[in-house]
Amino acid sequence: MTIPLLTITNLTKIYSPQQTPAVKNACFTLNKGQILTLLGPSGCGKTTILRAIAGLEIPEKGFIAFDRKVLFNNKVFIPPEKRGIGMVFQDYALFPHLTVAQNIEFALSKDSKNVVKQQLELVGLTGVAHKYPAQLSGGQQQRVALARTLAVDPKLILFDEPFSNLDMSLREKMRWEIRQIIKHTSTTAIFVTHDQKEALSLSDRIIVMNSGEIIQSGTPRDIYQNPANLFVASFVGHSNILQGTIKAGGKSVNTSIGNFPCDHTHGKKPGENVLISVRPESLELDPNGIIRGILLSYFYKGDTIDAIIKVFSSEGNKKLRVHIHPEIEVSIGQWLGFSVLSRFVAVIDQEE
Amino acid sequence: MLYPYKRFRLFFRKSPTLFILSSTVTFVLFLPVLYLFLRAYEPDIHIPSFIFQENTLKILLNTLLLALAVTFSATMIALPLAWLTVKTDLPWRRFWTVLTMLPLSIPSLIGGFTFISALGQGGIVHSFLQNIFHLQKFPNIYGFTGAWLVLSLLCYPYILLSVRGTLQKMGHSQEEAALILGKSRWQVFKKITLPRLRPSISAGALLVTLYTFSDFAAVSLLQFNTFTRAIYLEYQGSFNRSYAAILSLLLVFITTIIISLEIWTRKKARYFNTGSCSERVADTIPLGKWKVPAFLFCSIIVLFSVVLPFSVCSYWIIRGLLQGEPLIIRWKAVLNSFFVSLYTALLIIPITIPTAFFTSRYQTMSSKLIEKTSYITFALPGIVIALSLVFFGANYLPHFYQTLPLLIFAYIILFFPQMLGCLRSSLLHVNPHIEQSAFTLGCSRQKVLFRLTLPLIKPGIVAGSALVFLTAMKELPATLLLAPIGFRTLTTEIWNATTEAFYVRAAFPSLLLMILSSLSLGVMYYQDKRDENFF
Repeated sequence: MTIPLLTITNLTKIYSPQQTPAVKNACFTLNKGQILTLLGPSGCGKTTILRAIAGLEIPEKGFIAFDRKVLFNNKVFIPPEKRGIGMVFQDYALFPHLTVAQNIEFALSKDSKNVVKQQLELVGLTGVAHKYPAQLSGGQQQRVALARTLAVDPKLILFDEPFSNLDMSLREKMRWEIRQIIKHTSTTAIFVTHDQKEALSLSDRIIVMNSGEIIQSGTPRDIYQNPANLFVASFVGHSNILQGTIKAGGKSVNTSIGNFPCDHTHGKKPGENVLISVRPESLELDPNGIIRGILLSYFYKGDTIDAIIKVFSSEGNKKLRVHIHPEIEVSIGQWLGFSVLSRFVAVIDQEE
Repeated sequence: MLYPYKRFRLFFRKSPTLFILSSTVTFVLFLPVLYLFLRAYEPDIHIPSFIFQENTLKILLNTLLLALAVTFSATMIALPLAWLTVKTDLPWRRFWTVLTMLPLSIPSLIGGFTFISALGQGGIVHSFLQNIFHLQKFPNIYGFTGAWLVLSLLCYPYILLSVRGTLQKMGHSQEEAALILGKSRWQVFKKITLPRLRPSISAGALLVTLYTFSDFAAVSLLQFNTFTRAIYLEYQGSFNRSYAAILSLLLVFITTIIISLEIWTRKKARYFNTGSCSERVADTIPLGKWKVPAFLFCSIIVLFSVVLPFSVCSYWIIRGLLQGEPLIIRWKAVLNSFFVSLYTALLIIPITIPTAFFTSRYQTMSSKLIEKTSYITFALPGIVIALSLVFFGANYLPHFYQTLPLLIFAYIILFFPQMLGCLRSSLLHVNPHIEQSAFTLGCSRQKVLFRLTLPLIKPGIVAGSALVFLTAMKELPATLLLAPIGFRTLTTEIWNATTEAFYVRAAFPSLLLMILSSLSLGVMYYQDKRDENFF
């Protein structure tokens, strides 16, 4: 077994004794070459973890080891400049009084003309070496910030909400490009974001956080298809939450509006009362499907139709969110049938 | 954008050097003022009998009366001006806006000089009336009336500035709502507008009160016995300097009350500001038939507070030139002022930087204490600091007493808070991520300090130092008390010439000082703009 590049154990950060801790007993590891995303709503402690790894925050307790060295425990604190961990800030933090070239070579020893050129080529920015940061667009500034960080060749790069200051259209492009660059240079990276789409498309692994605690850790597919609890199910993507009991055999869950096949039962036994999360993607339009309801409302979104249907049952009516292929014409009040794909149905923890 | 302390915590995580440096500087600068307390406590002196003697009560009454009168009349001048220049269609609004601020660049010494040289014995009006009409009797311009008039005309911009700021952000919707509810215009003004303006009026009024308390030049030239003048007279004339110390402490005491009031109102003002940026700022109000009176009002204020000082100075300069007066310019005094101010402006930079770093990059008990202590001296009247240095110097540094180093030391004490404020503001405008990102790139603390932080705040250092230079040129009380014997500066020239009625000799230095002060207004304006836009 390889030793993880980064190990974090029981990390706790308290800003003020009156408030709940910003981070509570966080534990995780990260292997070399991976891209990890800390995902959660604002104030969940994800940026605090990032800054603690960089050495910009001093945790109250815990253990951080990186590249076979202890960075932090109850006796040791390695200051940020001695950690060899790069960080790209949300506002890029370029040095406003220095040119792009001077920014990139700032932390390097002399004779680094080549490095500047290489880095600018790597991030797809040539010909701006002598401009000042204020003369660049947001996307360009971000590339310079990345080039500046890559220039010192860190083993780990931390990204704090790197795309939140960019236009929507530019965001997706930069996301893809940065992932390419990280993979190309075989660097390891941790991203922090509150944007679930970004997390899903960028990462090898996602850690979902809420109020200072790690809720779930897994691949993007894991997180989306099998959310661990109500919070993850509703924070990452949309989900229909239903109550039911696991049927004998443990392969499906019986609810008031019908039987849902289910791959992931979260270790619960048949006969137990559980909550299930049904992703809209698991409901496929099928005239012979077992779930039938009338269309209440819909939004045509171009790539899909986002719709709410009402399913009737003796124990109360249920509203379900479904996706319909945009090619199909639907109208409000229409009866629709859906079949269920088991992979997007998961039993979740009751507590949030 | 201003960045709060919280995120800076880590810059100099542990820096005993910085702590020792900044606390030493603050302690040394504060030492003379502490000594003043010791000085007042001489064993053979019964303090209460000094405090409650008739003379002291009279001085106290004079000071309070003058402050009250000046504050009231300055408000009466500033309120209409603010309203006219912000809310109405007054012709040449921008022109009036700039001109009505200009009294800020007239030191009270020059206010006093122009007033006396225009109306006093041997002054312009006096000679004119005497020569043409052979009048002999003149009303007395000295005392309360003179001091009150001069200070009101010099001080009103403080209230004007603060009220203008509020008026510019204030829409009309509340007033309109009240009108629709059937209130008369006067009721609306009394019940809605005035309460909304009250925090900014009181903020400005407190500054005016503070200015009046600590003003030395105008009250002394116009011979009105307030604390500052009484302290100077006691220092000069009597052997019992403990009384001067006691008067100084009393002045410090009433000043502290005003400062606490100011802090309190500023805190309270926040609650008034509901932050309704969505409120529509209404169109200008047409003045109609009131246009001419409004125009006249602005003209009169500007005539007396700006045009008159400049023309009186020019009058005496021209007269001096025509008469071939040999002493119209004493270059020695200009050079003395220049070099003393220059040394102060240069020395103050290295002295202030450690404290500025410590108080802006740290948030500990000690850093807060050091910051507060530094600002206390800012509000202390110059004459008090000067007197404390006289005592301190005479007792502990006899070799330095009445030498240039001690004068420069006094200037540094006086202008340290101003420089500190300037540097701190620059430091707090530097995005903390800039320093932090340099650390994550592996740069040492020295490198970050010398290649990033200091270059980034360089404009602030230059502006602060320039301001100190210009303010030092204008300083009077400390210069009077502490300058070496025979050492003339621009301000002592004006002071001596005015008290001896040699108006021609005071005119040129006065004009020069007014021009320098306008420069410092420009520097302040430029720095404000830059801090807002740069980062």
